[in-house]
Amino acid sequence: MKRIGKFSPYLLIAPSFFLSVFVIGYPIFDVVRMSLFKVNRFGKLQKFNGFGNFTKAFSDDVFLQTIGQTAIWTVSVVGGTVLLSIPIAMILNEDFYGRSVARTIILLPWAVSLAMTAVVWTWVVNGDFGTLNMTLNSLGLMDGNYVWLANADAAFTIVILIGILVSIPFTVTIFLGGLTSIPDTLYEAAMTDGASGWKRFRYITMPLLKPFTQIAVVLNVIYVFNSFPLIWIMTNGGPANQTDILITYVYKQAFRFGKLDKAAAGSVVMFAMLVIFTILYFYITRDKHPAAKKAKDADDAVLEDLNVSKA
Amino acid sequence: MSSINVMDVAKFYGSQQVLFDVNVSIEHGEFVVLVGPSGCGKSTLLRMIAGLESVSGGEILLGDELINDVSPQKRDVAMVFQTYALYPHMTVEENILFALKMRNQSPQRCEVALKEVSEILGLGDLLDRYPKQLSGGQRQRVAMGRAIVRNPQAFLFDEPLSNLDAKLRSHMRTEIRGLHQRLGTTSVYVTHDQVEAMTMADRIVVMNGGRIEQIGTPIELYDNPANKFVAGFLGSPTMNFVDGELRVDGNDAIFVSHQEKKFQVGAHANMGDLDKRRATIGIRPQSITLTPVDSQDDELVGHVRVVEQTGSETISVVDFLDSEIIVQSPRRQLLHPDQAVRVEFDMAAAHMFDAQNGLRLN
Amino acid sequence: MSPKLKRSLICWGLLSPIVVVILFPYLTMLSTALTAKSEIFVFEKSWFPKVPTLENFAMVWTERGFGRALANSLYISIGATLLSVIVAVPAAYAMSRLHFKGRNAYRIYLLITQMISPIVLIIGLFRLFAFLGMVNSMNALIAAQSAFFMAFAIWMTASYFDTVPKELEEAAWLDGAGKFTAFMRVFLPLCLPGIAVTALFTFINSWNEYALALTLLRDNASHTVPVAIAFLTGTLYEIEWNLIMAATFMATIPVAIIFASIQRYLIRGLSLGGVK
Repeated sequence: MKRIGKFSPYLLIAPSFFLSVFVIGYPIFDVVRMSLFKVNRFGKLQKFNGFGNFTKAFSDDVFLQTIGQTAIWTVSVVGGTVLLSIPIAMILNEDFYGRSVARTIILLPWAVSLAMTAVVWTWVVNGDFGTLNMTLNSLGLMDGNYVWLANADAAFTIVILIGILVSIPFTVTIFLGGLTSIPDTLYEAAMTDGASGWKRFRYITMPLLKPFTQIAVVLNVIYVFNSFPLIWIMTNGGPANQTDILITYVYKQAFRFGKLDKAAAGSVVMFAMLVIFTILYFYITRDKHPAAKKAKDADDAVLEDLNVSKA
Repeated sequence: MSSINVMDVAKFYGSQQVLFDVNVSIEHGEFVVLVGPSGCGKSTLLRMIAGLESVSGGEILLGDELINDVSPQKRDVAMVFQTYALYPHMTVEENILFALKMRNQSPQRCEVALKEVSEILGLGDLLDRYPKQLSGGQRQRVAMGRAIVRNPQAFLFDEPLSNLDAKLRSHMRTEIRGLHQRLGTTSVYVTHDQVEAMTMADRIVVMNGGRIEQIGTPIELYDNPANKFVAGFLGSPTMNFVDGELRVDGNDAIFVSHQEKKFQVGAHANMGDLDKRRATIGIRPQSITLTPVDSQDDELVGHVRVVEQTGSETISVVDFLDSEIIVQSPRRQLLHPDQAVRVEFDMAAAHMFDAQNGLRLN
Repeated sequence: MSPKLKRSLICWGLLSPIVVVILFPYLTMLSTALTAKSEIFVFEKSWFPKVPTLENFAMVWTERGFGRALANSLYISIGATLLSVIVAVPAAYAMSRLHFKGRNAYRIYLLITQMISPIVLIIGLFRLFAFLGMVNSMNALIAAQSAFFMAFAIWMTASYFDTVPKELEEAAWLDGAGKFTAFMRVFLPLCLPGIAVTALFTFINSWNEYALALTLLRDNASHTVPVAIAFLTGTLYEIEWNLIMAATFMATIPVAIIFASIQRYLIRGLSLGGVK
C-alpha cells in the first residue's frame, strides 16, 4: 500500500509521458538519424553520410535564400505583432462601452483555423474578383485590378500582414494579463506624485510589462517560425520560391521532391533553432529571485506558515 | 471517545526536522490546546494525529491502538479546518451526512443523526443551503456539525476561528467550549492565539521551534511559566523583561539591573547557588504601579512615552531602565507623555529566569 | 457627454482600423457564400448579392464531399479531445497535488513538447505512422494531435485543480472516503467545469489543425474540413469560391462562437504554462 503510494505520481503521469515519447520523442530521434544518412526516395536509410546532407542543403541557393526569408518573415511578423499588441491591450484594458465586444473581435482570428483564414484571404486578395481590389477601387485608392499574389514582394507583404493579424490575439492576451497584474494603486500613487499620462506609461507600465514583452517575443518567435498553413495555402512559397520559409521548403523537399535526406537536414537545422529559442525562453522565465523561491519552498515544507499566510 | 498518546514523535521534511521528541498524553474527554508562534510545528502535530502527515519517528496511539500507519479514512477522528473545507457542491445536509454515507450508515440512522446535530447547532433552517450561501459563523457551525455527527473518538480543530471577526470569534469560543462540556469528546485544538488557549483549554501545550516548552493548565502556565518563552507567550499585554544579575547574601537576595538599579527578591531555599548569576526578571504589566513624581532624583523614575486609555483601564509605555516597560493599571490613570513617574514592581509576583537558557529560577 | 462615453468613442476610434481588417474577410466570406455562382464571376461586383441564396450551402453539403469531411473532422476532434483529456487529467492531478521527484523536470518536459511544432518533425511523424501502416488512419491523427495538445490540456486542468483547496480532499479522507472515492465524489465534481473548458479548447485546436491532417491523411476520403477546403482552392479548374466560402462559413462560425464564449478562461491555461 505504502509502496504503491510512492509510485502513484509516476503512474499518473505515465500515459501522457508515453504518448509524447511515442509521438514526439521517436520522430525527433528518427529525423536526427535520417539527417546523418543517405536516404532514398522511399525513405530507406542507405549509408552513413556524416554532415553530407547538411553541406548539400547549405550549398542549395534556394535553401540559403529561404533562410533569409525565414528571418524576414519571423522578425517582421513578431515585431509588428508586439508593436501593435501593446497599444491594443492597453485600450482593451480601459473601461469603455462595448469592451467585451471589442475583446471578442480582436481575439476572433485565434478561434479560426489558420488554414481557413488563409483560404478566405486568398479569395479576398484575388486579382479579378476579390473584395480587396473592389473596395480599394470604390474608395478611389486604386484604379484597376492588381494580382497581389503574383508579385513576390506584394505576396510576402500580404502574408506577413496576415501573420501579424493572426498573432495579435495571443499576444494581446499575454499583455492583458500583464496589465491586469499592475495594481491601480500604482497609477494613483504616480498621479499624486505628479506623473503625467506619458510618464506613467514610461515609468510604470513599460518596466512592469517588460517580462511579458520578453515572453511574448520569444513565444511568438517560436510560433511564427513554425507557422505553416498561411504561406502553404496562400502562396505555396511562390512565386519562384520567393515566399518560402524553412518549414515550407522542408515540406516541399520531403513530400513533393522526395529528397528526404535534405529535408531531414533542414528539419534538424530548424530543430536546433527551436532549441535555442526554447533555452532563451527558459532563461527569461527562470526564477530571478532564488531567495523568494527558497522562502516558497520553506512555506511548502512548514504547513503552519501556509496556514498563517492564508489567514 | 479515546485518549491520545503522542510518544517521542519526530517529523522530517526531507532533511529538515520540524518536530523533535514530542510527548503529549491527552486524557479521554480532555480539551487540549496546542499553541505557539507560526512555524512551531503545532499544525503538523495535529495533522499527524489526523493521519494527513506521515510520522517520521515515535508513536501515536488513539486509545490503545497504534495509528502511525492507519490511513485517515480508517482513523475515527474528525477535523474542523481553518477554512472549514465544506464541500461547495453539496448542501449543508449533504455535507453533514457525507461521513455517515461513507460509512454506509442506514438512511434512518442518518436522519436521526442529522436531526440531533441540527438541533444542537441550530442548523434547522440551513439544511438546504449551499456553503456559499452561508455567513462565516454559519459555515463554522456546519463544519462543527460535520464533525459532531460522526460521534468520533476525537475532534481535531485547526485554527477554526481565525477566519472570523473578533466579536464572532469570542462567541464561537464559548460555543465550542459549551459543546465540549455537553459532548465530552476528546479534543485537540490548534491556535496561535494565546487568548483562545487560555480561555478554552483544560490543558495547554506550548510549542516553539518544533519542541514542547511546557504542558499544564492555563493557570499553572500563567502563574508558573517554566521558562522565559512561555512567560512571554501567554498573557496580554506581554510580560516585561529586565536583564541583570542576582546577588545573594545569606537570606537576602537582590536583583541588580544593568543600570545598577536594585530590586529586592523574595528569598527561598538554595538561593546561595544563584549568587552572581546573570538573570532576567519578568514582570507582568498588571504587577507594576506608576506614581507621578515631581523630582527626577528618585532612582526608580521613568518617563511616560505613550498612554492608551481603553475606558476602564490604562495602558502606558514607560521608558525605564533603558527599555520600554508596559504597564496596565485597572483604573483610569491620568498620565501624559513625558511625565516623570515612579515605577514600582510588585516583586512578589516577579518571575526570574536564567539569562542563558531562559529556565525559571524561582 | 459623460467621460465614459467620450472614452468609449476614443477607444473604438483607435481600434477601428484593426477591427475593420479583422472583420473584412468574414464579411467577404458571408457575402460570397450567399451569392449565386452566376453573380460571382462578373466584373461589376458589389458587396451585396442581388439575390441572396442558400443554394451554395446545400450544394457543398451534398456534392463536394464536405459532409464526409465534416464527419471525419468530428470523429478526429472528438477522439483527440477524449484522448487528451484522458491522459491529461491524471497527469494534471499529479502536477497539481502530489510532490514527487522529477515534478519540475516533467513541467519543463511538457513545456518543451509545446515548443516543438509538429511540422518540424513532420517527416519523422510520417515515417513513424507509415512504419505502423497507419497512414490514412484517422486514429493515427488522433494520437498525433493529442500528443501535441496534451501539455496545454495538462496545464489548463491543473490550473483548475489548483483552485480546489487541499483541505476538501483531506476532509473527505477524514470523513472516511478512500483516495479514489474522495477524488470521484469531492474533487472531480468541482473540477468538471474546468475539464469541460479544457475539452472545448482541445476540440477547437483539433478541429482547426492543418499540417498533421494534411500529411497523415493523404486519401481524399479521409480529409478533414480544413484540408478538404484548402484542397478545393488548389484545383486547376475553375475555383468555386461561392462553394468554398459556404463551406468555410460552416467550418468556422460554430467553432468561433464556442471559442468566443470561453475565451475568458484561456488566460488560465496560459498563466500556468509559464506565461506569468
